[in-house]
Amino acid sequence: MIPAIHITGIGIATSAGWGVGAQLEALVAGRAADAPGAARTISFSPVAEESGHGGKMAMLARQVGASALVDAGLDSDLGPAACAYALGGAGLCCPAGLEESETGVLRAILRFMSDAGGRSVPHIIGCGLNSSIAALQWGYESIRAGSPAAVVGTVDLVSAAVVGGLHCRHLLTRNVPRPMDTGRDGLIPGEAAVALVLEPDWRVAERGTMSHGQIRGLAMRRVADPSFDGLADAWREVMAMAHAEEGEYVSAAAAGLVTHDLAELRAIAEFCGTPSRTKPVSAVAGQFGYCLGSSGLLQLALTLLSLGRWFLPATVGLVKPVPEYPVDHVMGKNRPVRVDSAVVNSSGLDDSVACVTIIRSAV
Amino acid sequence: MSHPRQVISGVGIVSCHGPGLDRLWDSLLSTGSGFATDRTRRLRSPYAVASIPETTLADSAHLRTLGRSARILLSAAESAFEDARLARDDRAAPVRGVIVGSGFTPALEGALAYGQVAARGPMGLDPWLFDNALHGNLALELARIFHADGMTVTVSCGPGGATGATAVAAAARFVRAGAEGPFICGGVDGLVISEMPVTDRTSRPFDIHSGYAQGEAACALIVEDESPARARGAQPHASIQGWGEAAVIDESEGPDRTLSMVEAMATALDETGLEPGQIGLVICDGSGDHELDQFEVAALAAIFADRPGPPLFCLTGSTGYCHAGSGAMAIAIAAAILACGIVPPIPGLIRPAGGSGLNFVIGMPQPATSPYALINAVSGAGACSIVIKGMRAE
Repeated sequence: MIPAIHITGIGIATSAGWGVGAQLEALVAGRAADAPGAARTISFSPVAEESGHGGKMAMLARQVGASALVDAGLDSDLGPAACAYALGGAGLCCPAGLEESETGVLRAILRFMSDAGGRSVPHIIGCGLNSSIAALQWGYESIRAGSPAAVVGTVDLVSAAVVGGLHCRHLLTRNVPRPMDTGRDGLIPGEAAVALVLEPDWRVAERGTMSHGQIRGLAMRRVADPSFDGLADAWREVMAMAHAEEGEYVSAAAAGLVTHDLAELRAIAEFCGTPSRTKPVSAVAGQFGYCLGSSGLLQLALTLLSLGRWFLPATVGLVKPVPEYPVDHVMGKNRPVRVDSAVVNSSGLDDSVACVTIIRSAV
Repeated sequence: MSHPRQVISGVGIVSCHGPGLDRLWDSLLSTGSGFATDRTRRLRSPYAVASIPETTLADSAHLRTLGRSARILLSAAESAFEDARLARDDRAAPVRGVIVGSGFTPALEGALAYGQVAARGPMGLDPWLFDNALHGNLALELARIFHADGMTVTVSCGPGGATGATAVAAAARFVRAGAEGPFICGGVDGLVISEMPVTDRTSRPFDIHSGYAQGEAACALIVEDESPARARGAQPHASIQGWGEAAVIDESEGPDRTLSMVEAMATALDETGLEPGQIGLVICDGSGDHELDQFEVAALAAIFADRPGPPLFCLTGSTGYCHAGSGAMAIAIAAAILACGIVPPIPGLIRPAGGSGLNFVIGMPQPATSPYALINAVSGAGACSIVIKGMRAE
C-alpha cells in the first residue's frame, strides 16, 4: 500500500521577504511592490553574513532548508532522510559558475543536513523550468521506496543570462504581469527559495507532529506539442493524472503569457469551469513573478499557507479576465473562505506541465 | 535471497575509444589506455571523444543546437536502446523515465551563456544556449527523442563518478518500488568549454606516480524489470542487487571522505545480503588524484579487513576521469568483466602507492572470483556503491 505523504515543514524566501510570516503578509496585502517590468528579487538578509561561502544561492538553500527542518521539528533528529534540491537555472543564475551554484549549494545543504543529524547524499535535481516539481517527485518517490522523510527544496535567481534567455524566447513584458487577463503580454522573472519536509503518514503519527497538508496526487507530463492545442491537451492529461477533480481551488501556473495562460485556462475550465462545478482559480505570478524552476514549489507552499489561514489569494494584475474560458477567478481582493483541498499547476513552459493535488490538514 | 528484478538490459557507451562497449573492452585487453593508443590527436584532452557518432534520432538542425554533452549522451542512449531491443514507437514498452547524472555540464553550459551575454548583452543570447544551461535539459532531450513520459530528471551529487552511479541506483530503486517500463539512465560529463582544466598527463589511478586527467564519456544504461526485458528478447547484462549512499559532511577532512565510502559500500552489501568475501570483483572510483585515491584505498582496506580481497579494477587509466560518465561506465564494465570472468590489468597502474596489500590487478589478468561485483563511486557530496550480479555468463 502506498503511504499518504504529508508536508510537515516549510521554509521560504521570496521578493516579499524571508519566512512564512512575510509571505502571508504579502498575500494578505495582495499587491506587488515593484515597478512595471522589474524583476521580483530577494533582498539579502543579515543571515547572509554567517552563511559562509557559496554566494546567494547557497545561502538561500541553507536558510530555507534549515527553516523547514525547524518547522517540522526535525532540526536535531533528521536521520536517513532523502534530500533533493532543484536548481533549474543554476548555470544561468551564477556568473561564477559551478563553484557558486551547484557545488556551493551542495556544501550548504550538507551543512544544514548534518547540523540536523542527517547523513544522506543530497541530490541536485533538474527538469528545466519544472525542476522544483521534479524535486518534489524525487522526494515523493523516495518515500514510496522506503525513505522515512525527504527534504525537497528549490532556489532560482534572476541574472543577466536569465533575463536574456527569457527575452530571446519573447516571454518578457515591460509592464506589470497580467495572468489570465485580456491584456496579458508577458511575464516578469522572480526569485524564490523554498524547502519542504515530506513524511509518510505512519511517521507523522509516530512523531505526533503537525502536518500542513497531504499530497493526494502528483503528476508531470512532457509537452509533446507546444502549440495551443498541444499545451491544453497536456494540461488536461496531467490534471486528470493528479486527480485534480478532488481539488476545491486551483492555483494556476499562469504567469501572463498569451498562449500558455489560455491553454491552461481551457484545461481548468474543463475541470471546474462549468456552473455546476465552479471552483475558484487564482495565480500568484502577478505578485511574486515567474520564478523559473522554483515556481511549482513556491505555489505549493503559498497555497498551503493561504489554505491554513482560510483565504484564497487574489490574482494580482488580473482586471479583465479572458472571456474564452470563463472560470471563477479570485480577483480584486482575497476571498475569505475555508477550503480543504487544492490543485497546484506548474508550468515548465514548452517543456513540461505538472499538477499536484493537496489536502489541507486539520489543525 | 530473493530473485532479482531490476536488470540492466541495454548498454551504450561513447568514450575516447569511440562508440560502443566492445571498443572500450578491446582497448582494455590490448594496450589499455586511450592516451597511449592515440597520442597523435590534437585535442584539448587526450581523453576527449574525438568524433561524436552520428545519429538519425534528430535532424541536423536540431543537433546543432544541442550541447556537446547532450550529443554524446544521445549517441550512447541510442546504442543502449538498440541493445535492449527497444523501439521508440513501441507502445507495449514505452520508456518510463530518464534519469541522467551530470556533475558539471549545466554549469559549464551556463558559462557559455554568460560568455555570450558578456559579448552581446543580455538581449543577444541564443535561445538554445539558455535551454542547454537549464539543469534538466540533458534528460529532457532524451525524453523528447525516446518518447519517455515519466520521471525525467538530470541529477547531480557534485562532480565525480557517484553522480552517474546515483542515477543508475535511482532508476533501480524506482523499478524495485514498482515503476513499470524501462528507464534510460547513466551519466555524462563532456569537455564543454575550452577553458576546462585538462592535463596532458597519463591517468594513473592508485600509482605512486598518480595523475588526474580529465576525460570525456557518456554511458547510458537501460534499467527495467527482468520479465518484460526477457519477453522482448533482450539479454540482460546484469542484475542490480543493491546500493548504498553516504554523504561527505566535511570534504576537507580525509577521514570523513573515507568514512562515507565505507558506509556506502557497507550499506550496499547489507542490502544485498552479501559478505565482503562473496564479492568477486571491485570496480574502484580511482580518479587519479593521489589524495582521493588514498582515501579510497583506506576505505577498501576497511571493507575487506586488510585482506587482499577480490580483484580490484579501475577504468580511469584508459578513459581519463569522466566524472558522471565514469560512474556509469564502471557499472557497464563490471557487467562485461563478469560476463567473461576475466579481469584485465588496470591501465596506467604499475606500482601501487600506499602499500595497502589490496589485490589491484597489475600486469596480468585475473579471474573474477564470484558473479558479484561491487562498484565504488565518489563525488563532491558523497559516495555511491552498487552491487551487481553478472547474468550473461549464466
